[in-house]
Amino acid sequence: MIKHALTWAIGLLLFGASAAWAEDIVVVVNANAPVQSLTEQNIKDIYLGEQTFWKDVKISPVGYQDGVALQSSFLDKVVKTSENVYKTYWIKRIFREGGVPPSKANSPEEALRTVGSTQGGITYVPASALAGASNVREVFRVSN
Amino acid sequence: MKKVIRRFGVPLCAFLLMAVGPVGTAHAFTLNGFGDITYSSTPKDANGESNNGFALGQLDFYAAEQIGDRLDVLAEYVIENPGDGFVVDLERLQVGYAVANNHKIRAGRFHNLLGYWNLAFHHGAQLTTSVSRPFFLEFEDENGVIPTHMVGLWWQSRFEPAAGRVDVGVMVGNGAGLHGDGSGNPVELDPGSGGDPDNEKAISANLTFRPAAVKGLEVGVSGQSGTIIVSQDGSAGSTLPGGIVGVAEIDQLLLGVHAVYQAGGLELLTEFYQWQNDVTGSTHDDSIAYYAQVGYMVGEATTPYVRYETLDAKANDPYFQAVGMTTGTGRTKTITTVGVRHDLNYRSAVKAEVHLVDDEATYDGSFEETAVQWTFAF
Repeated sequence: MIKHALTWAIGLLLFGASAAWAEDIVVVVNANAPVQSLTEQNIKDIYLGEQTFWKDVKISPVGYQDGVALQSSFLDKVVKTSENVYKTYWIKRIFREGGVPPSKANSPEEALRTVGSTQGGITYVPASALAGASNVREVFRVSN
Repeated sequence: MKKVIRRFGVPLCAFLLMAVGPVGTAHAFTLNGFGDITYSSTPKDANGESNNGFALGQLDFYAAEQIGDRLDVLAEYVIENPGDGFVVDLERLQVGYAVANNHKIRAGRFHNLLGYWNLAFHHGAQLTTSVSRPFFLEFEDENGVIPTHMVGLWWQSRFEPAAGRVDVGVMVGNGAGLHGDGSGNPVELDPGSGGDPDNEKAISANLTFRPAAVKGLEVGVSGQSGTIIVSQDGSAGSTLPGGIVGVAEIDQLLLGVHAVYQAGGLELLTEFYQWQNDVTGSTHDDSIAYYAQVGYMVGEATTPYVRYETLDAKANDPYFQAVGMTTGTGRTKTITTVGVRHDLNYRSAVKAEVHLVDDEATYDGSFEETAVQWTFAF
């Protein structure tokens, strides 16, 4: 219990820090999502709104509030862009084509809860945050 | 036209209320928008008078929402002042259904599928590197000569072969009209938002390709075919610009090609259009227009750019006669633009540009215009 609490405390400190991310990032989907694994390109397409369905299931990507170090690192390593460019991209995309950007969670815990309760849910969390998460499945890992 | 669109003020209020939504509403729209304030210096007119001053540009509100797994809606209103007071214009209202991952059908009012600029930038001044649009791509109610909007159905598909990405779109909708004010003045292009005057639907289509081997490159072809009804409101039988009497039909085929490259701070945009405007029983030549724009971001925020644009309207082209561009002789209008854009952040920019205009129809043939613009997104 104390170990988990310490892990979460460290995770929260890292989550909110603006410094470079220093832990593996794990991409997870809902345990019942009709997908076994994803490539980096698949994930990039999902977070750019280019892929919106897995078969008949609507994909619901979950990201984080602006300025979170975890998000900046994910965008840099997977989407291959900066946070400002990413935000500009979504302004243009919504204006041109409609649609909605990934929803924003306040913490990895909240993101995991959302994905666990949504069949098309997908998010990314620090590897340490996966402990105790339910109804989610790892599909990709970004090594630090 | 402006009187007609004023009636959209009531739906705008409803739209804004919907966008803000009551506290706690689960599916309230998120309201976003663009705006700009522009200082411009306009040329001397035939009386030797010039003008300069500040102007509020377009205030553009838009909201997009997913209303089901496969359903989404987009609404866009623009508030602008064309010189005689502020008006509200419903620019886009569309509902879409995702048939599959890469196939979607939409109904409503859209920007048609011609070229690149019309689809990429819409009314968002913050999105364009330059202050101004190429003049021949101006909107219908700003003396534009290309039908930029359509009301109808829009099918869009995407294919992703190994060589790259192919997007195909087809729109079917109301044909455009040209309506005069009864005094013989040049007429305004009406995209047919309120109905189709001749029951013959216009078709707009495009095909674009983004090669996997050259990131940032897009090439495309597009076209629109339709019958344009030319009429002089309130006085059937009167003479219209171009000597057209009463009501006339112009069969228009508008073809376009474009190439765009945006990568590594470099932006290259170019589009070419050709009009084939037919009136039964007459002969005519095809008019053309094109532009090329080059910009390069220096550092992280400053982008100098240059653009060359030209429209060559033929003397016997009935469409350009009807819109008042030509009166017995052909007309070539060319604008060379030099400017710079500086991004304050990703939501705001300041731009300045100079236009060198060469227009056979003006009293002295050539003149300069300047404009400084502050744009923002929210």
